[in-house]
Amino acid sequence: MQHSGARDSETAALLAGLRSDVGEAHVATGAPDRDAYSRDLWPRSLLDQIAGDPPTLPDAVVWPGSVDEVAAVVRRCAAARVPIVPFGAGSGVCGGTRPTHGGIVVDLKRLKRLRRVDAEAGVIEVEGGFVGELLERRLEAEGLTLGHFPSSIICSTVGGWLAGRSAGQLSSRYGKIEDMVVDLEVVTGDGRVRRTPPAGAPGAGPDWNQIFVGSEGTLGIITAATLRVHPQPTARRFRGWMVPTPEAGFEVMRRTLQEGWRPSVLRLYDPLDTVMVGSGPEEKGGGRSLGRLKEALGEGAPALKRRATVAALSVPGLINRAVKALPQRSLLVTMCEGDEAEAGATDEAIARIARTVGGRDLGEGPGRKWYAHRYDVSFKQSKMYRSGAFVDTMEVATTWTKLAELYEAVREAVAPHVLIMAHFSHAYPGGCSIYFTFAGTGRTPEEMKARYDAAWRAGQDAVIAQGAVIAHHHGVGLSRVPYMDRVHGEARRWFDALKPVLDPAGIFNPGKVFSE
Amino acid sequence: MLRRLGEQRTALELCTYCPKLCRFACPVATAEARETVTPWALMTRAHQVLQGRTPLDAATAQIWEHCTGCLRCQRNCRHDNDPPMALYAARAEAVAAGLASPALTAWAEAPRPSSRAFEALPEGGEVVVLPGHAADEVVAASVKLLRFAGFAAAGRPARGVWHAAGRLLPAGRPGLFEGAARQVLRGLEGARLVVCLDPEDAVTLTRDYPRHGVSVAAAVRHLSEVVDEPLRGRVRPVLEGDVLYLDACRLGRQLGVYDPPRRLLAAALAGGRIREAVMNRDQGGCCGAGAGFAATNPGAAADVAREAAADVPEIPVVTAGPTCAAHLRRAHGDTRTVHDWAVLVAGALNEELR
Amino acid sequence: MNSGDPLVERLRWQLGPGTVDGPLADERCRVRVDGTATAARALRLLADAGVPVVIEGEPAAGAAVLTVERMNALLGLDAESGVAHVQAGCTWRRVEWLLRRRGLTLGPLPAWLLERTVLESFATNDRLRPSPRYGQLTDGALAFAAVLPRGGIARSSVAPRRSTGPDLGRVPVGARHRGGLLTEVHLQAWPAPEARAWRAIERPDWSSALAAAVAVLRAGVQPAWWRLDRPRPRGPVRIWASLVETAGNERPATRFDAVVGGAGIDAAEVEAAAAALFPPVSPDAPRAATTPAFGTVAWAPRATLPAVAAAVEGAEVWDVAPEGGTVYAPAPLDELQVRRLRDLGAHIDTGGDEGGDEWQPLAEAVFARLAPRTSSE
Repeated sequence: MQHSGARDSETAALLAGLRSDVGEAHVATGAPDRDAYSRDLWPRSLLDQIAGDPPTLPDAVVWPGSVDEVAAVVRRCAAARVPIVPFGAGSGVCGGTRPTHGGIVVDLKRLKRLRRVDAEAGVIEVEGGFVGELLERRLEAEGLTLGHFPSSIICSTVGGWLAGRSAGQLSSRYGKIEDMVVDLEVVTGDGRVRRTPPAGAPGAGPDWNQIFVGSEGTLGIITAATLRVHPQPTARRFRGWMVPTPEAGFEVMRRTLQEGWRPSVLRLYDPLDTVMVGSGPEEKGGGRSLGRLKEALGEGAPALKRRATVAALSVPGLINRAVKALPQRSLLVTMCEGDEAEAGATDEAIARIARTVGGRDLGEGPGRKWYAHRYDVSFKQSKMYRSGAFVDTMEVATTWTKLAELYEAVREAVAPHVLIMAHFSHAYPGGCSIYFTFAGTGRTPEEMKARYDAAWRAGQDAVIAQGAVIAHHHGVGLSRVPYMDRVHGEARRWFDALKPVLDPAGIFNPGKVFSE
Repeated sequence: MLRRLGEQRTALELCTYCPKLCRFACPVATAEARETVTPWALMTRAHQVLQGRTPLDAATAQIWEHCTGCLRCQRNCRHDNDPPMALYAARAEAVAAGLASPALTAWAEAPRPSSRAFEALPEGGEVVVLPGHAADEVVAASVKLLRFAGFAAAGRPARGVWHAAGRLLPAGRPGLFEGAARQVLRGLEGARLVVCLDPEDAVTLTRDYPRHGVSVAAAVRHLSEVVDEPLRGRVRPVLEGDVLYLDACRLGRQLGVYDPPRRLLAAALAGGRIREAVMNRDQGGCCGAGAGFAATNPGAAADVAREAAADVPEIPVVTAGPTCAAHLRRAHGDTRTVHDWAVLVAGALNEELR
Repeated sequence: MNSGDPLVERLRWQLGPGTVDGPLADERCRVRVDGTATAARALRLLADAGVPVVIEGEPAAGAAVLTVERMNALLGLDAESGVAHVQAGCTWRRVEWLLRRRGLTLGPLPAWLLERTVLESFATNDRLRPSPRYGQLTDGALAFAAVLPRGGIARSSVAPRRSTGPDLGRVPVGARHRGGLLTEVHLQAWPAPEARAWRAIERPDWSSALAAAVAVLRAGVQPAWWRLDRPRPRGPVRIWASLVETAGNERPATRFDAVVGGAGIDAAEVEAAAAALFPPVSPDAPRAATTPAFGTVAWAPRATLPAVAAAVEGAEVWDVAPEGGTVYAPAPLDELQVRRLRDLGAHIDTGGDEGGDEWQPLAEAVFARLAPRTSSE
């Protein structure tokens, strides 16, 4: 195999062994399987695909059906020193499951049992291969919710969420996935199945839960997790606020959370994104040029739209400058839930704070509209790529004090390369994430890749220069590896100490998270 | 030169560039736990073939068979994309390239089950029954339901037509399909109402025929739609305990018929109630038999069937598609009772109220 | 005055005067670092010289003792974000006092925590502040700085959450300095509450009391602090709770009453208990007579939590979450008791050696890789 340089006979022996471990039907070496597992949803991979660049293929795909089979696969690959790429549903957007070193992709989706539901204790034990949407519907049928609703919920797994430190749209109430973990079942590189000590349990040594969460398959394979769940809310309150500036919106979000309220959604759109999402009468603002841009990026006749999109995106500097002249008003969408009393009290608290910054109550319309279409934005990706453009997102985080500065710095840095807008949707008492969306184009696939790369470099460099966090919930994968040493400095030594202990053969997802 | 696939270019591109937003929806990919058979991957591969970047070989043709045409992907697609239609075009290219699957061909050309009940019907008439591949027991029960509902004169189509030849499309034989459709049309001449026992025939007549330039003048309905109203109050509660009702994909998601079969089924329950799977109605699972999947991949198709019913274990399953019921029965073997809706309801008819 | 010891002289030269007060061989000698940079220099020099280091501990033969009492500054306060940047040698009393002057708080700090340093709490990952509203102190870090055992400085960016790989900042937490010396922490602070309401109610046994506590959480009420105890064997179990109130928000207290209303405890008794539990934090205030000698802290899952609490004499239950809770045993437990509680699914901190914990050898191996190389390597 590519990693070890082993001969064909060794490969054949390994595959034979794997077939005996998991069954003949659960090992694939055919071209369709290897191709399907050669990439995740990293937009850079899509640009490679458009350019016709062949991906690196895994040597085989394996589907273990139990945690013991996962352990057997790990032992066998460790003995042969063949890389393993753990795989959920491949919805990552950072290249985290690209088999850059060949080897074996271990698809965990046959591990899809909901092992335990304890409604009274508010915990479930679920296997890592469970697809998110299906899990949430199962819980809903039992009057429960995990409260984790990433926009990828329809195409991602529990294991993937944990491996990448995922965040859901209701994170301000329920937290990120790392906040939901009670304990984990992991298979470490020695092929042993282990269960981490529960969160909150006393004991010496690292907090193993928080070491494996976010490790993106580099330290172990997460096969199951005990997670906190909550009763389904019995009431929801929706609302939209038009605030005079993004900063006024930050103020509402910050004070709401620091007062101890727990709305499930606090979602602020920057001025351009406010125009893009629309908010009833407000969407008429912005002038004709903006109307044309909106048409280009949103609705409109397909042929016209394609041309307009490419034309607009080929001069990103100009468009970004025009965007700066927009009115600064920003849409804040809120959703409060719980029982009637809690949802109502939280909604009223936000109203009290929003009025102090000059917020205008738009009623429940914007909130309901957002909720009804909360997963829809990703559908725009296809149309953009078909029109010859690329889109991607970059989620970063910092404290409230630095938020406006970070927002401006990143916009400034990427403005020459791509059109950029943002929303602020994961807020905490101490700070907030910024979810940048950018779009660009190029005359050739090579030029598109160059622009895409330049935008990412400029954006991440700006984040690092601001002392902010380069990733809030999409993870590192391959895309952020070049920045990790600068971000972590000497802290990397902790990873370097953990890695050989948890993965003695060095087979887990090589080249990811930190460079080798 | 891949003309049929080329006609699907927009659909292929929408899926290729999509971040897998129907991943959870595909019952085949869920049951197989396999990314390769997601609509995203199947369509991407077809796109690559169209672009000349991937050879159209046996492995590729085989992978395109992993679709039951259930359209839960489309139900969850904001583009309203129709991957099965594109994949049927891809299968047609495979057939043209000499890569026809013997199993798929055999499935498409399978002789209908013999049915004395069907053959006993008079030929022609304003109301005709299309039994599809329903077994004689189902046909007999259906005819009984129709008679009770006031369709005493229901007949059979002329020219030996007994189904809409819909299997030819997923089998990658669009040319044969179009020819067969015209034959069927002639067999239906004079009919004002076509009552389909298999929802697949209703979908074929109302959706696929027009796409191929064939227009059916008669109204096309599934059996449950036409007997629902007339039989209300005429079904006795005979079945003890709860049952799990599974919407057949073609009847529910594709024809939008959810409540008529549930209403009469509920009337047939003595004290029990209809239980629903977690994913139900327009998000309901699939029996795994559609588009020839059970013929080409019987093991995976059985997994699809079992998954559809897995949320509510043990109790009997009822479904209103004869092909679905037959496959669910096959997949569960002795482990679970599966009722065909028509047979169950016909058995509960109150003969005294006839 | 020259000590005659070249290493001591190098330490003094690099760390500044008054930092090393004698030859390292003298067991009274302390290396007093005042910040991350000096700690890094000290650890690097000592590592290079092959001298083992004891941090804030008892002297050992041939080892240098490093202390952090000079590392007690508030390095910065971002009042808008509520983020306090503190040196790890600060006591919680000091941090809270500095914050209170600016209208902020870390949340309720029971008497037994006040004299502990930030470093002690993080190095032992103590779970000594039961607060659904504010969380554990050691979970509230937005960033950290630490010196690795070989002297490298690790520093993270300040943000509430991140997705940049494993949370490496958790390696030294609970590691009793073996993963590195934590030198600075960014802590989440909160607006000081305008009012605090106290509640205390009784339930006949552990099961019903814990069920009531979980019902409170399920109703969306997050007490700022709470504790369950049972003063008399087989007597009623009491739930003490402190509920934060802000302007126009009396909800926590009213919801609490609605959910667990019932036999209350006399108001004066509650106030007196509250005053004892939460003494003033000003530097002039009398200090707690002693930091209590801690007994044993155990965590048990929800299913067996009542049984674990009932099995421990004088048990208090802290930090109740729906999935489980922390049981504080005032007296140390003997081996038999520990085994019995472990059989009930409890996780018990026995001071570092988890006795058979499968993770312990892994932790040891990780720390060994971080440790300074000995001269034989």
